[in-house]
Amino acid sequence: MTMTLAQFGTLLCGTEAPTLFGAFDLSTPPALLFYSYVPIALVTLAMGLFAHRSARSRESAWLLAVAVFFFGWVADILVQWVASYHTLLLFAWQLNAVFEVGLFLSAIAFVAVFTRERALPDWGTYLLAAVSLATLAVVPTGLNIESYDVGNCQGVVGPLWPTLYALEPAAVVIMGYIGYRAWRKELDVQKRLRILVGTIGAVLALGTFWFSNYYGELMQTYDFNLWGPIGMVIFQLLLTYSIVRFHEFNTKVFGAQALVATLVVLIGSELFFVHSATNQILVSITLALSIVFGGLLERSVRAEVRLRERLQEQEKILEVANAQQVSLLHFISHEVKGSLNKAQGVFAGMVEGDYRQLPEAVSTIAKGALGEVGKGITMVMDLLAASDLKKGTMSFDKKEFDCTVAVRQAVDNARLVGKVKGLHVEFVTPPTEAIRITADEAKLMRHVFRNLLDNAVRYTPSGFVRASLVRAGAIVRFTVEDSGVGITPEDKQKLFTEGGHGKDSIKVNVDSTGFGLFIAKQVVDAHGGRIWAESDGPGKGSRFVVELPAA
Amino acid sequence: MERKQALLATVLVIALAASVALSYLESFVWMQVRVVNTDTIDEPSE
Repeated sequence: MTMTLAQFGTLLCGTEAPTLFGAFDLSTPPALLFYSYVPIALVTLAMGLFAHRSARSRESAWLLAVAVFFFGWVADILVQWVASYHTLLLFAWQLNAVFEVGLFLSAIAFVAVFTRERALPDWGTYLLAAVSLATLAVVPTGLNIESYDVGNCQGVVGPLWPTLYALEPAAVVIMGYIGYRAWRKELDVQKRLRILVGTIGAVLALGTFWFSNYYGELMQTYDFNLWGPIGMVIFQLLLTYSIVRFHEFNTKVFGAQALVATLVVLIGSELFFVHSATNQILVSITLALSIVFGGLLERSVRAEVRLRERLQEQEKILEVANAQQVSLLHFISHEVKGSLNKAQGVFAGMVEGDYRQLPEAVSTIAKGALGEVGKGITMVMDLLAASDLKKGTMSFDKKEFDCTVAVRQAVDNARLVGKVKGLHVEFVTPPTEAIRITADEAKLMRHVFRNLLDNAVRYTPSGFVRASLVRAGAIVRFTVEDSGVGITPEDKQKLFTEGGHGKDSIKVNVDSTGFGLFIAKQVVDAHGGRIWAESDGPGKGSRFVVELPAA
Repeated sequence: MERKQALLATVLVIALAASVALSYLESFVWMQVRVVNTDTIDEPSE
């Protein structure tokens, strides 16, 4: 006759007395169980929660999943050791598969997102889901726990378990392979080290975990597999290292403290189990070293974290201040531009005779004022453009056009201004055929072609200004060369930065806002081009080159 | 994409709940799991 659990359900397991919560007896398992399992499980879970709370990233979510499954697994094994009733024992034996499979699957997913810094591919998600579903379907069946050994108070495992023990090393190899591939692809040394640390941690942790379980099962020595979770400490240790070293998860000092505390408790607990004098000495030395180096680690982490926090705070303050400044500048510029426009209208009306014939003296003043207001408007427009570029609100209306025409127009303009100073402004080698580019014609004309030519005329007291436009393969090159004041090497560094005047440029050009070349560079960059300046030094002229992709 | 993932997660959670519930029923309520190594037990209850 086949007996079922129903006949034993109310019986206690062996001689156990359910002293704790009426269901558990803590006196049966070896003391090592509480020393090794409980702290490791708690620390893993706490670190998982803390990491996820701080980072809220894909990586931290998967690390938390690893921690939760591991914690579940450990809790399950603890119940298997201390439960007093057969029913509860069977339940724990059945659920073990859920945690074990969950642990390996989430560890693979963690390694994949941690090393590749990307979400799982769709097929990966579906594969994980399919394996999970298959496992969950098998859990309540005899394939998982085939029968119950009432004499030894343990489940008799079904075919699921040999399958798992065979597949788990494969999972470890897969993790290693994923990490290895990411490591090979990565060029950045820091990131390679991070990948290496994470992968080795995961492989060692789950490798040890698998080996101790498998070996324990094989040899029926369950004391042995108590050492398995130690692998998780390696995992946590290496992850904590990568957290601290690469600022992963921002777990702050907590991780280091938890790590040191766990190590000390674990090593200290060994003193209760080793009996030979040699072992006791060795363990004591290890314990002392752990305390010293653990303390040092904790201190250095604390210092580093403090420093980083302070920097982050400062950065935030600066960001806010900068944003406020940009919007204030934008606002003021807008207001000023409105007033200047009105004034320009009035002066233009005066000059053009809208207010009847004015006396000669007043007319001259009005002409001067009109010129000044025009300059003011240009400056304000530059400031607005710069602020739009910085805020990322400048839009470009890109169309295909012939830039020969635009450059010729800009050169003609510059020639008129240059003539007053006696400069020789010319368009050398004007192209014979159209050179077409796809760009925002108005912005390129105003901020790049005209701006560079105006600058050349402005900073050249005598001599020449030469512009050229050539197409070289897929690139259109616009060059402005002059015999002007030249650029010092120091000025060249900040030429294209915001407000980056040359040291003495303000003496030559009192109206300079310092935004012209900054805007020119931003506009050229936005078109996928490059701009740079060349000069042999002060007094030796300069050459500005713009390269844009041809249409 | 997010809807697909939410659906997948829901399916998994339901499967997990069902699996745990069935295991629970089997262990605590039905108790029909076959029992071996009964020799060492003195008094199986009827």
